Amino acid sequence: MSLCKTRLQEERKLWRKDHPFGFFAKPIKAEDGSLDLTTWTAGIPGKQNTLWEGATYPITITFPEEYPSKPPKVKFPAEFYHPNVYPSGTICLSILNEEQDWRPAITLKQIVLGIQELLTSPNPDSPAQEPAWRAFLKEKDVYEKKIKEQAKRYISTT
Amino acid sequence: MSSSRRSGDFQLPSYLPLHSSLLRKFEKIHSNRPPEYDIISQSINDLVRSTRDYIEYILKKESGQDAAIYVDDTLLTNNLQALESLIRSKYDLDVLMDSTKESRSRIRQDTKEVQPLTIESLQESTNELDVGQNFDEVIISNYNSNLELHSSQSSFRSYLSGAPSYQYVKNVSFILTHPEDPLPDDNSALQTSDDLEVAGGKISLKDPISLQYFKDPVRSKKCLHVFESSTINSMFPDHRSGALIECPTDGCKAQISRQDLEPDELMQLRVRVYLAAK
Repeated sequence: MSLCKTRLQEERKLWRKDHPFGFFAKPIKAEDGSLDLTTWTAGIPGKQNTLWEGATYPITITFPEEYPSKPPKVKFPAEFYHPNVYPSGTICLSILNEEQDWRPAITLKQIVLGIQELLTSPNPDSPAQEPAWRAFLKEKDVYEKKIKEQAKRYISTT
Repeated sequence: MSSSRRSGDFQLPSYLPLHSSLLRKFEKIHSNRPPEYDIISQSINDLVRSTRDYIEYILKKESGQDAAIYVDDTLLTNNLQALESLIRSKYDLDVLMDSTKESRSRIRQDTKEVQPLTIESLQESTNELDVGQNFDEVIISNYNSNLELHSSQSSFRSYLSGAPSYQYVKNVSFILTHPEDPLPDDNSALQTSDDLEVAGGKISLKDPISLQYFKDPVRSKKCLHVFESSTINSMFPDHRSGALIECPTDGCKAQISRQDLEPDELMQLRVRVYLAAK
């Protein structure tokens, strides 16, 4: 079995055994009903007492053949409102960048926790979209309103 | 000898330098190690070998996965105690031998400085030499002061923890009963403490790349991170043998090459013992 497959099976076992509160993550079902371990859907809960609370933000995680040498690609839905998310939904985060801080030992749990942290602590030095970045730096009230509207769209079901 | 001091004007020195022609013979006599030294060294080697044999038995036995291993930690605990007292004896003998050597060089020194003993020079040496001690006494007083110096401080302890044989037996015997725990502190020089793969105070027995239990663990000499041999080797580009990669551990800045990887037998032992107990 390939290293990618082996690792993903272990990641799934680990996640099922224990994962951070409020998060979910699971491989998608292929058309024939079998699990496709290389594509996962997951939910990131916004931190309490922040603009992001009360919602669970959906992401898709795609693992390349070369995983864990190469990082997975993680996306929010297109047009997701956040300074470090590209219009396509792709997340700009150093631990997910092979040229930057990605290391094969980084686990799924670390990734989702890193993304949760990014929601409330955007990095103004690596803008990925114009509207959220500009609002975050110059129009705090617009930014906050947009984030709250977005939270309503992804209200946690539990 | 001391009685000679009271025999009037003419005093024999209580300490006589050897004539240079006798010196070589004398040195031969006293340069041999006492036979106990070799017996002790042999016993230390035997203990370490028996421990190593037992560990190898565990490592081999379990690889078949079939037979449950019988982990007998009393054997190693006894070995460890015996080893400590043997090393103590050897240490004391070392102190004695050092003192002998010191005394010998003192005798040699004195012999070079004085004329061969004649009636004339005897008078002279009586006046000049004030050694006042027998050779034996010199050794014993050297030994005692050395011993005091060495045992008063914790120098035996540090000698002990610097002895690779003792560390080995101590570590493996610890691992037999605590496969998931970091080794006790006194060899912290070997570890960069908080840099180790620790999960909730426990040492991770899984390869951080495949997340499976180690089978053939190797350790990077540069950063001490441990990986499964096959997975870490798959991280290297094939074409260049000296190629450097970033350590796969997040946050680690080390650049490692294949040559930096060495087998980690202790980790292998941890995994075997842990899985056998499960």
